[in-house]
Amino acid sequence: MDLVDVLLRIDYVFLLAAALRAATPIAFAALGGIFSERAGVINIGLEGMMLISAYVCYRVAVLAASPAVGLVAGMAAAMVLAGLHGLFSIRYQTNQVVSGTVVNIFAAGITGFLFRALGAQESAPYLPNISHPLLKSIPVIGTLLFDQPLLMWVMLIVVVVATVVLFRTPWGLRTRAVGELPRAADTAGIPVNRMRYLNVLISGALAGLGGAFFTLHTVSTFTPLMTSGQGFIGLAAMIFGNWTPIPAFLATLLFTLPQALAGQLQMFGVPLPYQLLSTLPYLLTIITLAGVVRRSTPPAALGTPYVK
Amino acid sequence: MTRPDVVLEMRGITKRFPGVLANDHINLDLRKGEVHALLGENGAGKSTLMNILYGLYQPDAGEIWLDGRRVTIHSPRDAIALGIGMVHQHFMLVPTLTVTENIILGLETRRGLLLDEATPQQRIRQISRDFGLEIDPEAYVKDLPVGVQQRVEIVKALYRNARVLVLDEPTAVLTPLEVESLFSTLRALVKRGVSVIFISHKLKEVKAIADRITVLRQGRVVGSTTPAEAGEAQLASMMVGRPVILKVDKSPAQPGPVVLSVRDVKAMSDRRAMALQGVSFDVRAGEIVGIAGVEGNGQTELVEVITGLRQPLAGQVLLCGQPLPAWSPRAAIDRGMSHIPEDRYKYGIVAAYSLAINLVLSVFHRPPFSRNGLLQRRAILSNAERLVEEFDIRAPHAEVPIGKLSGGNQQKAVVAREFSRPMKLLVAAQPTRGVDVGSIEFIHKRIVQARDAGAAVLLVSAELDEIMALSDRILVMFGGRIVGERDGRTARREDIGLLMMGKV
Amino acid sequence: MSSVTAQGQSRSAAPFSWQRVWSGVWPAVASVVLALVIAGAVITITGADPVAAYRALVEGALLREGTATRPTAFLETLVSATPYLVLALGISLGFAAGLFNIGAEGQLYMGALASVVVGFALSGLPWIVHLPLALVAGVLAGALWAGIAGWLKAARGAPEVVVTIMLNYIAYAVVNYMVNGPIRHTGTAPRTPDIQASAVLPTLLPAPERIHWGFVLAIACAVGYYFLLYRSALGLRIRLVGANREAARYAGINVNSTYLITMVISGGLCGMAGAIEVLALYRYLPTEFTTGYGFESIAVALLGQGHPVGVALAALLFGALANGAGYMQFSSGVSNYIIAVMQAFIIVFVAAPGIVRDLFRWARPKRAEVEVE
Repeated sequence: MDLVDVLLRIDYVFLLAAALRAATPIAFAALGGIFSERAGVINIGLEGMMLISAYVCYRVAVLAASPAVGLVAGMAAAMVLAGLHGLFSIRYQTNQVVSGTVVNIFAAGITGFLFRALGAQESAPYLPNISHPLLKSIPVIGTLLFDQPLLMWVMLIVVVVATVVLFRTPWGLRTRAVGELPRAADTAGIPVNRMRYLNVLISGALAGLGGAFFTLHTVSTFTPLMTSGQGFIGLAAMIFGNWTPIPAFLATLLFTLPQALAGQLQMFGVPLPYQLLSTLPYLLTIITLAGVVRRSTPPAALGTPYVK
Repeated sequence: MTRPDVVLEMRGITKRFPGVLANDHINLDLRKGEVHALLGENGAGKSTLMNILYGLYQPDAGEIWLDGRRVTIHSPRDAIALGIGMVHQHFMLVPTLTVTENIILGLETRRGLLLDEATPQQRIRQISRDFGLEIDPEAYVKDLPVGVQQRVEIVKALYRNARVLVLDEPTAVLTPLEVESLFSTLRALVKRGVSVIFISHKLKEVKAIADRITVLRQGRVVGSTTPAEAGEAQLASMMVGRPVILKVDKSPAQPGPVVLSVRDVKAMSDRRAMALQGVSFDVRAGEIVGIAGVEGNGQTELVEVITGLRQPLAGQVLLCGQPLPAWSPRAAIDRGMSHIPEDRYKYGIVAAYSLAINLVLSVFHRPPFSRNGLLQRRAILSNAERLVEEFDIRAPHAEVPIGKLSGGNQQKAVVAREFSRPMKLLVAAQPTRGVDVGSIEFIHKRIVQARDAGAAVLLVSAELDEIMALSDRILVMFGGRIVGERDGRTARREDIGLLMMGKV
Repeated sequence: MSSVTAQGQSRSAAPFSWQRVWSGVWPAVASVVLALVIAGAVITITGADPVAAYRALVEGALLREGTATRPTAFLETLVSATPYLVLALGISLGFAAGLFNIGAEGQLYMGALASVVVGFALSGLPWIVHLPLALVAGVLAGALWAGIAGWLKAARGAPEVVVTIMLNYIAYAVVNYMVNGPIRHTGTAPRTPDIQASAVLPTLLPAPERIHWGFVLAIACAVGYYFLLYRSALGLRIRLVGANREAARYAGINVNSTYLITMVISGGLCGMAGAIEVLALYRYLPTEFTTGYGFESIAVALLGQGHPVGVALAALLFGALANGAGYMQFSSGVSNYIIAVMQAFIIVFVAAPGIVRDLFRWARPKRAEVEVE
């Protein structure tokens, strides 16, 4: 009875808005994964790319006193790691899961070192929210969209753009061909490895945006390992969405909504141990993967280096 | 220096791979409007030569001249720009894309920033009409039968304005009637001034279509001739380097009791389409039953169900009257089934592991190869020694990674392993694919011996000649069903060919 | 068939060659050297003297002798190397089957948790019963935790990479919850009660030395790993699944059960590492008790190239770095976190031996130019 009462009192629009915010970095990771994997390169290094971006965003934003400069620097740092992953996977034909893991460990090690060596006392300047006093007061939509972080907006736009790019442009056609049957693309005159490098770099840029969300929106400082597995959850969303942007984005909400709900329940005094609540997205990720993987079809050449 | 009607000339082409001289100073010229056949057995260097022409490989030495100009071809893009088109043995079509998308790939037209598919579709339809190559530009490639996919490949080359068209083993996947239709397409192309290089190891077809024939053996040109000058036997001995017996020697079958019984089996393919729509047949001890059919008509799935690798939706497989548990390759092996898988490299061997280990791949956990859970290296090595001797596997020693051996020797190792167990049933899928003539003869002989020793043999092959030569009974598969049965002694090629197209 | 046969050797056996051993080892050695050079450059940039720093590192890791209150440096390195070794063996076993158990950290946490619970909750048992029980509890907990990922991989095809990572976060939360709630001791800091003396994994030498029986167990694990992977039928099965899953399936090997078994053994080893840490060193469970052993051990496994000797040497190196870093910071002022930089670059180079080769190739012509001048 009590619980029903609480459930009736919850502001679900507010809840969805919170879930959307929380979904932002996960969705960036998922989108990054889609570009890389559609071109045939497994990218489990997204977590590390997000982490290094989070750190560099923070550090540069403080130094330049500009969140925008920080954002660009963070994306660049993530793209450097993406380039490394590309170099390993494409040129040196390292096992792509190993390469991604190396990227993750590398990012954790370097950011951990820099954090301890240089500290992180000052606050970084925040990126602005997209807020409009009039639009904000529109019921439902106002709360959902018009007082939200800039990067959430960027994410929504990227979801749409990515869909168009992948399925309606020559670039997308070539990317998909390279990930499905690279030899066919090669014989059609498409430089397979260049396409792969570029798509891995795109995936790094997107992961960089995701990483920026942590230090330029959520909290204005850096803590080691602060991305806490969200890059991996993004991969699960990507799989759930069958390597397609819009379904993958919707899947990210699947992981963030329950936690937003649990947060609300706690606010209304329903006793839930917070340590165990925090496992909710991770549990949901596992359950989703267990349920969905057999029904998904990854790009056929995923994980296979292209050798002439 | 070049004759005016010579379109293409390859001079002194040499290409070396680690341990192999794939092309050794090859000279080849192609005249305008001719079909020039490149004949040679597997591994003779035909595909390497053509991949050099198409820019996929760079030659170590040699020159390519096109229309009297020397050209260098760094990539397929260069080749396409020079008017060279190629239909590869394994089609270069992305299954998840449409026919149009496949054809325009790399030459896309845009409308604004977006892909324009309407304009290219008009041109595709035009080419389609001009050359009588019927295709649906909006269909997805994965839904098309192989014969149609080949037409898509040819249209793709013509869309790129190919003047020189290379076809690599184009008939391997076709029924006899489809081969006829391909040949009339080629004649139409030639009439319009396209020059064709036709790669094959099949003598009959080469004689039927070629204007000139160049024979390759072990990376060298061994001679050039015309169909009028050379007979089949002569071509065969040029190709192999010695006289070849084109017929398999075998006595009439003495069928015994039923060993394998397949009862109304239905199964899905990996792409979740119905691949087997109720298949039933028996194979008796001491007979070879051949399954003919164009690839992709359910043969792969049938073999996988029988060997326990695929879960059927319905039906049963009985071995000596006992039902085999579905989805257990182990049970099948333990009850006396041997299996030569269709894709050796993927399913038959573990390339990085030694020949010796590969020879015990299915039995290493049992004595004498393991005792108390520990491997017995000596037993594994002496087993290898015995099989290397008996099956004439050429290897420096038994611990060489099997991936370093030639295709023929790898396949002999697979055969040796499968024959070294007590065998009630042999399931041989494409047992001689990609191996040299010597190994083919050897493997055929062993299959017949297995039959004579009382094993039931189920032979699945896309090579109609192989089916005709070995089978005591022939079943034809089409669309996931057995559509006909013929006696191996009296079966006619044309008749089987019609069945393969589903024309009962 | 023309092999020259050495005496007493089967003519079908492969001839032994040092060249092959070296070709397997040199990328790892070169990676370590390159990483040390890069870290040295970083040290120089920060304004310190890399030579002094490295001298202190070696001293702190290997050379300093013990005093009445300070354990011998080299023995401390062995103490540090112990969890690396056991964890990296577990991770390597997964690699052998083509599985990426990057959830070693979570399995270590769960193993530690189970061992501590058994360690403090049972009393009145003789150590001969209690200690093995506590150890086994840790092994089983790790095995179970990894087994979840193994089972999901086998039965549902769920990628073990993502699942094991997710299980890490769940393990942290479970430990955090338990230590703050159900099994919190009565003191101020959130931690469990101390384990009973009968569950303590004893030291090998009198205090202040801390070298303990867990080190011996770790060595035993390495030997066991060798026999399991290279001498037993199960090991061959695991390796074949890793080398070509499809061919293994065609040969009648049950790939799914192999996945499950491998993950269970791998997790069992990681759980044992956790058990050893708490039973020998901490003797209770704090909320956060390792600093990323589970992840660094992935680097150890990669550096060790799957062979137990390689893994042991790599673990020794990582143990030495971890152990020497403190003294280096103390005596040369270089942050001990510089070893994270070394580790990061070590695995970058190990993961792509081609990079190392190309680096040397670039270096060579330059060196030649110098010689000409």
